[in-house]
Amino acid sequence: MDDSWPKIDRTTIAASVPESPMNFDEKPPFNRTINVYPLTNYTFGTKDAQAEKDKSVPERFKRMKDEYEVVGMRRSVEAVLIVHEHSLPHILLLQIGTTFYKLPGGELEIGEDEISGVTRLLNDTLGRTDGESNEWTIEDEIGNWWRPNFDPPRYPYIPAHVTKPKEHTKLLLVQLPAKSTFCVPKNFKLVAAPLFELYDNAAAYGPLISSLPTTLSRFNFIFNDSN
Amino acid sequence: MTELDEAVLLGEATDQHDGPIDENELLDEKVLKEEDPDDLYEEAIAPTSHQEEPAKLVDSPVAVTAPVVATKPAAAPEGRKYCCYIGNLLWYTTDADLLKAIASTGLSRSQFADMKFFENRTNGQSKGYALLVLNSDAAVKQIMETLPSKPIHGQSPTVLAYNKTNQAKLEEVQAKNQTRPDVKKKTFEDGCVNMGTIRIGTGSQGRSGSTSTSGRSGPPPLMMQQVRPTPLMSQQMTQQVPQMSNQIPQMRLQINGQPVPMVNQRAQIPQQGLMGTAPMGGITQQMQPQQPMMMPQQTQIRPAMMQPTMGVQPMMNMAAPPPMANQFANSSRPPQIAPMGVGVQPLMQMNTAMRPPVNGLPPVHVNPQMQMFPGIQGPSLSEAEFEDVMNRNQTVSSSAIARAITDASVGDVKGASETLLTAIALIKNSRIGHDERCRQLIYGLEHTLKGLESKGYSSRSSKSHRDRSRSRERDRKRRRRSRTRSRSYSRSPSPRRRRY
Repeated sequence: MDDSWPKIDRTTIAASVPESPMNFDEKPPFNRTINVYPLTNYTFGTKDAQAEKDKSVPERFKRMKDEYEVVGMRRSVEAVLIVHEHSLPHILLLQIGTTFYKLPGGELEIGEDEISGVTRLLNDTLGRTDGESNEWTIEDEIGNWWRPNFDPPRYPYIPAHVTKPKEHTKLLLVQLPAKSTFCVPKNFKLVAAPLFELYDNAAAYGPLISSLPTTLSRFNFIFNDSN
Repeated sequence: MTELDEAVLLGEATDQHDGPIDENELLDEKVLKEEDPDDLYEEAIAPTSHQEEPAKLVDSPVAVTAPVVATKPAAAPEGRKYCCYIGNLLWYTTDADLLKAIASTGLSRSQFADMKFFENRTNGQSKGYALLVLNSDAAVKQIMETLPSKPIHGQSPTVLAYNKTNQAKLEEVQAKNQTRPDVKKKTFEDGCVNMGTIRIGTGSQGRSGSTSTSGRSGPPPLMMQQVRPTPLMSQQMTQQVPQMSNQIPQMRLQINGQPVPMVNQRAQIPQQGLMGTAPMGGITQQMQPQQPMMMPQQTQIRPAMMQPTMGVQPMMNMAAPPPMANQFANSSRPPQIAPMGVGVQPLMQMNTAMRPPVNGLPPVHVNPQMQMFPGIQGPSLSEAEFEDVMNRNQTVSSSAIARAITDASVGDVKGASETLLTAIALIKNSRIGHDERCRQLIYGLEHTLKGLESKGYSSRSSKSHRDRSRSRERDRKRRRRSRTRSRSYSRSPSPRRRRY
């Protein structure tokens, strides 16, 4: 048995999004404009239920821990899809059970990049089943959240005493086409939650989703008519 | 996404609060949180037949210990774990810092099993102490002897034996240093959802029919039904069905017509207790004896801090006094909702250890463990006891109110009253029942009781027409003023649902 301690040089993390490639040069536009379309432009069908990977919360964290010991930190992505009603942005959320909401998304495969990962996951979760393909335009990275331990809390930063977070979740803003069809697994309900419902409502939606109105305020959403 | 929501999702709904109430149960609600020292202790000490993952040492199914070393910890063939607490860490002392210090003591790597930092759940901040899990008793002894001489960021780690008393001490110390309350208990009843949320009708039920039948068959598109699935609620629902089916798709729901903030209160009260947002009256009284002993140098500025705070928040007395009220004051931090514009407070509130002492005060995060412990162990023991009982009373109070409101909201006013009366009796009969803060607790309970009764909580009309979602913020404020007067809402938007 190896009885030596791992060599520890630096005891702190080197960047707030440690595994992200550094990008000092590209100057992003000062503000960004995103087209959104009325909810009525989209049609929704159903498809077979998609079971959760884990049967229970403890199992879920057990698997996370087991995988962590083999492949390291889990990487996941969540997609923010926006429609509008009465010129108010609404975010598409999957409702599971009665009180649980989540953004569409999931775990990335090892080595999978975020964009192909989120595209794959969106196709799995909301993609149509009639052979046609959906168009998902990944616009922007709008946030990063970390899970410091194998338990529920996630924060939009890595707490100072943590050097080895257990999960990193990237939030990606997805621009929807003007019209489209989605197929929702039968065990989910899809809801369009207006920003005012989410705002300051961590009690119902959790800190991540309830922070989206704030996160999204930097975008200029163009409210297109149904035509 | 809160953990309770996840629990619900995965079919692990929270308990229903049935059966008779007793003090233990009420207290359990507090204890059954992230880390229960009792279970932790027993689990870790008890020999186990098979090799156990360190994760199992922590009682909560989800609060799993985090191995800091990615490689599997060395096996402990006997499956027996030995723990100790490492305290006096700074909030920015990292797991790697600690690991490095441990490695530097010469401890054999194979003796290290796991470690877990205690964290403030609200913001993830370290509480400045960690649980170290080792594979032998000798290793614990070795750490106890050697680690304190390996300073981390200039502070000597303290190694404390693994028992409840020590954890309580560490917890007490950290409470003084946290900039944010540690709201561990997430009450999902607090969750108030679906104001205006548009449900896109594709789910399993969504398909079945036209809008007119869907209201009848099972979960109508109404979201509020899911929020509080109580028997009475569904009763109310069925009554609404005819109305609903006529008005689809532009439905106005009555639940928003007459919001009753009590529901939200129930969820928030327990947090309130932990949050330390509160009554100033009790604080000043309690503070006087403690202050000189714990941190003499703070006494002089306290008036400056307290006075403005008190002036602004007289209405908060309704809430239970926070367990940490003293600690907030001691650590020179204002209560959570203290106004920002007051003198030195903003500075002291800053969460940075880099800040030089202000007015001779240590910065918030200089770990005062060393200076605190003598005080705790010495003549202040009775103070600690007092605090202990006070905390219990506060827990009893807030849990009872929460539970009473739960009961009342499903029509069990009698049960709710009994709960409150039991809590009043418990607090009155506690050793410090005469104390002003306890009297305030009792007053709050009695007030709630009156409120319940006068409100005719059992009558259906007030029970079901309740806005849960838009009233979060306002309820919180209003509750401090009065539990019973908050009836009318000038603004109670009606949700509009539409099926597609």
